[in-house]
Amino acid sequence: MSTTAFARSLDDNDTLSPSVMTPSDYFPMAEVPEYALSSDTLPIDTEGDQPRVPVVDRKERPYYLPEISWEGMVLKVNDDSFVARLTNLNDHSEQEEAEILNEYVSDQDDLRLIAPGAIFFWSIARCVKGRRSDQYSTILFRRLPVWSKHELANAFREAANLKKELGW
Amino acid sequence: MPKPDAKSASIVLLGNFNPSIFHPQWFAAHDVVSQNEADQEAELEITTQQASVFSITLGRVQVTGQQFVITGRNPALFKMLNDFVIKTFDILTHTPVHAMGINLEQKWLSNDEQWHRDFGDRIAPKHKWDFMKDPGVRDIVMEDQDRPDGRTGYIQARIRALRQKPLAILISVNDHYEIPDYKTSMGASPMLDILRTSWDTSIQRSESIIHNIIKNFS
Repeated sequence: MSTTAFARSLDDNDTLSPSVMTPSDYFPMAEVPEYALSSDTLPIDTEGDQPRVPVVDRKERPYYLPEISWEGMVLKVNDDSFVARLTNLNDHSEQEEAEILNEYVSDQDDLRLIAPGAIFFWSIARCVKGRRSDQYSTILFRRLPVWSKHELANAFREAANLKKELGW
Repeated sequence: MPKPDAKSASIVLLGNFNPSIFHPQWFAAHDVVSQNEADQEAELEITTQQASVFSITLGRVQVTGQQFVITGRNPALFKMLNDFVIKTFDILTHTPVHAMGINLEQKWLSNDEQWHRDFGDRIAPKHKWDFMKDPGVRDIVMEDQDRPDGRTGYIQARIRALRQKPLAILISVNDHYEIPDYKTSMGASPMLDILRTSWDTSIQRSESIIHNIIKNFS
């Protein structure tokens, strides 16, 4: 059991009820620190030297140090390329247009998402894993969620209220 | 001054989940990820009724009966974590979700031992700790219970000194939201509404908290 100052008691809000499975049930070999039993909204494993819940494995995971990142919007679709307006995510004021070959799209299943107005992210980063660092480029298209009935109803209600306030 | 290093963002939902359905193929079947991602890129770690853990290009997904977590480590794709969660729980709209954390974490590296000592001393002045022999800050949390957006919850900033070379500190911000008077019949919708409207603000606020910590205590 941890005796750190950050151990949370089971009286904290959002704690697990005694009948609910604790992390030790599904990580049977791991010692479960007291603070891991609180279910707050922190990620399960962190970079820290004291994970909140014993991690499943100790595999070193890569992380990415961005060199340049853009958010792109497709303007025009060609046979094997598309034209997009790119916004530099480090400096939102900087915009440029570029033609990008379809073969540079990271996931070829994303090609069906290419249409005017489609949004994608293009990241050129250093991928660091342990003592290894490689340059990494990825273009991924957003799979934007559709509007829910609840959201549409809210939008219509707000529009109706606005219309009423404006006396239209 | 320290140098910014690895950064991660995560969305943590608390509620009641059925871990066994959270499988890459389920996400592909509902077009949350591509079929190619599910077939070729996804790395499965655990799929049981009690826990599901796998990695995809966007990040690592970990689900237990009470907690859903997605953690991304490529800052350019952080916004897609938001898309992933919204699209998933638009499908699983009846899943009870009563609390959410939008988390941002950044590691800062510095080989300057004096900088680390001074930084820790400004956060927790050592002269007040003269009853200890050689104290140093290892881990500290500040909590703001008065959210700037008036919502229910809190914002926590945590600073940790990591035991590693080169010397490093890790700053984490937990932007925690709760639904007051939550009933399970409300499902995931109230929390998704918060996520839809709060993501950008939350990430910007957390970035600002992290930079202010470095600036004010350096």
